[in-house]
Amino acid sequence: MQERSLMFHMIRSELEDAVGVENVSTKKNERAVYSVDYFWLSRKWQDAGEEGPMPDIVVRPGSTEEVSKVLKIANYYKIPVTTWGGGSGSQGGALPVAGGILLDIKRMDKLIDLNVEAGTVTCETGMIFSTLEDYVNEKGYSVMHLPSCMTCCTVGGALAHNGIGILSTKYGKMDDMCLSLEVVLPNGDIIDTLPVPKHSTGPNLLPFFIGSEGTLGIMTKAKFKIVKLPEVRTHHAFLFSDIHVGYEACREIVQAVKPSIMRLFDEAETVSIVKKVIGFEKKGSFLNLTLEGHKKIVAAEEEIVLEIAEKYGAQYLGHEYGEKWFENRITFFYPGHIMDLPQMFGTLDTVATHDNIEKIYRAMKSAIEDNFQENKVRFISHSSHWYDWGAMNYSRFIIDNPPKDPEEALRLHNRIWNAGVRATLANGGVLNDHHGIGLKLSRLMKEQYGPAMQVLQALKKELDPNGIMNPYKLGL
Amino acid sequence: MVSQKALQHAEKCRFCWMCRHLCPVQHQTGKELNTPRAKGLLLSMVSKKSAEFDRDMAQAMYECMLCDACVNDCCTGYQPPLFIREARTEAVVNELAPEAVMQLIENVETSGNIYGTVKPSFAREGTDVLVYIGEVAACKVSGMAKALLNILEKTGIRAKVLDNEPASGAMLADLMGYVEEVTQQASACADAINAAKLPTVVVLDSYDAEIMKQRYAEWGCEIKAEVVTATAYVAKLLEEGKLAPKSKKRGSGVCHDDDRLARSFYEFAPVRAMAKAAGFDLAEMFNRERLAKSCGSAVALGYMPEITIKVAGGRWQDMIRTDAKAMLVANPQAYLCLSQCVPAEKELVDLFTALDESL
Amino acid sequence: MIKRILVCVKLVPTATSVEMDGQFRLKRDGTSLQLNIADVSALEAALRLKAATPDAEVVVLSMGPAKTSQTLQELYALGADRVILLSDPALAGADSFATAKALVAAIRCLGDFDCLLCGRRAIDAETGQIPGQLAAALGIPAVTNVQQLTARDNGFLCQRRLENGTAQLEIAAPCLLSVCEYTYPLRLPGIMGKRRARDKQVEVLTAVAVGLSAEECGLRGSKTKVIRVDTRAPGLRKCRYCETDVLAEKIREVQL
Repeated sequence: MQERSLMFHMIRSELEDAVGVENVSTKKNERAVYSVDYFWLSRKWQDAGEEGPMPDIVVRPGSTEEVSKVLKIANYYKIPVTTWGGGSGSQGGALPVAGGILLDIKRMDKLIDLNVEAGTVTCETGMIFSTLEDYVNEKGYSVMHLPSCMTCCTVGGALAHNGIGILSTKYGKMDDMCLSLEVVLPNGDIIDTLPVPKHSTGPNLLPFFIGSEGTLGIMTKAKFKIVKLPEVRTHHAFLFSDIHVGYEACREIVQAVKPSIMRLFDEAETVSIVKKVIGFEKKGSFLNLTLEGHKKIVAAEEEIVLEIAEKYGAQYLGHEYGEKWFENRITFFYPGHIMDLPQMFGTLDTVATHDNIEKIYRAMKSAIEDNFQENKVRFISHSSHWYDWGAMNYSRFIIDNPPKDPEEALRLHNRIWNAGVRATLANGGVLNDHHGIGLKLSRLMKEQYGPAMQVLQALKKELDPNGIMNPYKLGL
Repeated sequence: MVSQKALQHAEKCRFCWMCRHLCPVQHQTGKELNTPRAKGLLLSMVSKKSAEFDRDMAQAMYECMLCDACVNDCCTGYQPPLFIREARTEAVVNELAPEAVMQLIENVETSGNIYGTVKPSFAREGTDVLVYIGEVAACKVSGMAKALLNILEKTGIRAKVLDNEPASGAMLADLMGYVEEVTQQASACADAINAAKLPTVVVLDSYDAEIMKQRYAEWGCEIKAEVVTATAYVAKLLEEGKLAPKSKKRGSGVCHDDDRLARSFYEFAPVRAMAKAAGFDLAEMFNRERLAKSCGSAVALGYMPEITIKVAGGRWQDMIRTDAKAMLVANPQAYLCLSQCVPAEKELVDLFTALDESL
Repeated sequence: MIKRILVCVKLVPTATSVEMDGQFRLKRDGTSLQLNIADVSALEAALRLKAATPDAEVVVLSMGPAKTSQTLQELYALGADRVILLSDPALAGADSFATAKALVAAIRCLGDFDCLLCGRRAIDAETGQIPGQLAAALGIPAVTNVQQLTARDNGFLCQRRLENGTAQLEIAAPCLLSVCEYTYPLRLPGIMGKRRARDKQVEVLTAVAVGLSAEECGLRGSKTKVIRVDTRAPGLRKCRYCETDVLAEKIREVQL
């Protein structure tokens, strides 16, 4: 859009009419704050003094109806719409790379219904996730979604990337917690998914939107299940001789009981991050594990866990380190505690069945360590979300002295990602476990899906024929 | 531009999102611009010449309550209010500050207070303690000031109040940052308080108490008397049995911990002791004590009333979810902000007046 | 009447830097710099002398890397009339002897002055040698460890800190006064001061510009060399007493 054109101002005034004059902005500084999210490349771009991807116009709707109006306008003029929640995504999913409208949904932060008898909470999706958790905690309940970005992401952002929290092994991820949604389709129609998430009334609508990263519609209201805050929550820590034994033991544990937290660290992360934040000094593969719920059940689960751990020769470290980890669970992500520029870093999280997960760990580790030796790359990994059928790896690469030049850095960055992700795909893994695809991995979607991609493309084509919704993301 | 130190803090905050859920302004406006990280990011961009410090950016730097909520919950020690204050200094230096801000600064220059009026005098002679009323209580919440003086009188404490009480500098510091002009006000205020030669100065407004107790010394203008918040002072009188409130049932109430008591003094028990003594059954808001959400400040109410009233409304929402009847406040600025939007069937109570009435 | 006050200041790694490692110990990456604590007092003392004397000027001199000019520029807003940075890659690695020599060369280029103020020691290396070396090289009298200072006719009245008390001393101008830390809290810049400072630039001098040869500069011009830096681990000291005649031999033994 030409900023000074007559048409630009016509459209702007139409948007102002839809959401209120004070909720539309074309100020350069206001647009500039949307040019950086948590994606490493957007940060690097800013740090190098380059102008990042900016929208032409910022629109802040206050209700579902206003979102609908904005999408109708955008569709008529074929203007790209990028939805922004907290901007805390690591995949560049909210970066307005196609310009156009930036829809900041944080005004839509109302609590609609909190029903402790039914065990549900309903809110608008622009609410910061920790605010929702506060509201529910006030009544003695929890959504049990505690991601490290909880204080900064919105409910909508968590849904859009199908996010996961630290308690997922017991309580599941976003698609296990969300019961129903209100969605504004790209044409402006407002729809509701069915009132319950499990049924035999045709294919479920929820999975079309949860994880769709703003490409198929805008989720405006969400209903979640809530549970009572646990009677007890006990933390434990163990040390395995190496990660191989750790994988075996954790598989057996998760197939027997349901810990809320189970985080198995590889040898490299045990002596770096774990040591740094909780002061654990020994070598090996560290595991912290939390059991919670009714006291009696937890006691029984504890017995089983200790038995299995012993069978695999784990050293039991007691409660201290598990408690320390829990206390510091967010500390890991503050400046000075987490990787930061000038370092280059990325999280190649993936998920696979138990028979593949260790293979992926080894393949990815060697794909990165062997191919990028000259860049002095470091590779660390932990597995922090487990299912009875499999587990995820939260693998990270770090380069302390990447190229200063942003373009050169971008090329290296993408080469590392290609190598890491392809090692995963070759061994039965997926592009991503819980951060999403965004801009970062968009180019690899076809490689992952193969001919199955046409299913997603058909959905996109039907729901968003003008391709206005978050262009260039999710390979759509 | 801002100092190297401020820039260092801004650079650390620019890619960190961890405190935005605590920002009362962000909550009410829903603007990405109103997050500590966005303000840090903008200053970083200015230093890299990829953005310009213009009127719009200056405006953004003023859309903040300086309530310290972001600093309070952070484990790093980086402080958004540090660079936001310095950015305000830059805005004033470069004549980019919003007009409403410049008007308040002019008011301070001409009348000594942000209201640009003659500050009502509470002057009285006394030999036990000096009471510092402050401009917000004097000009806008006089009932609270009178009630404090009444309480002291009923205890037999002879309180002195200065004639032409000078400004503490707290208001100017929010408007233009910590600059020499603020230290000049501070110095004049310290001189006047020291001239009274009383052992204790009881400060009604915790914003004044904060600057006196936590800034004056580093600026070389220390107050010789012991600086005590009015809430702590009155709570001590209660504890020592020097005040005997009549038992009177007033129903349920929640105490609002104001920004400075919550995060500069970590003072929580005194307001609650006052509330109990005044006959309230105490409930609690979820976000309380150190995590208490700001309800706005008088200076912000002066230059951006719309946003400040929204922020006060946000605090009322916290209170409504508790089912209590009354919001209990012992700070004139909090009282002033909350009084702008009292919800139906809820009551705003000044704890000094409530306590005075029970004596 | 005082006409010109010189102040020597140094930027040191910030002590209150909030960078911490996992053990909550300070990280010293050296990227964040602050004015040395005692130099802050010297600067404020100079600004107060200037305030008390119409027409006096305060000239600030610092030696350090070019990037320090950003922080030094902030001193204009406080009321410094000139801020000069002696900066040259050739000066890197200078010990106190070479540093003093370089500063003296720069000071000689700046013309007459009534007093030269500096902090009594820097918090990074803590030698405290520069004030004495400057005075000796300039051939002027000095009072070290000053904690209070006022101008007198043709000189200054100083309160000097002693181990167990203070001494009042009078000194004639021109002279050097080294000031104790925490004696004069540095003022904050004012709005007007910042406006005046907006367009002022730090004047940068090179080694050649002040007439220094390569042999006199930096590591080459230094009399001492740091071989290594150790952390003192409590309980590991192996203190032995010996006669002075075997001292040299013992030192060789421990490879100092």
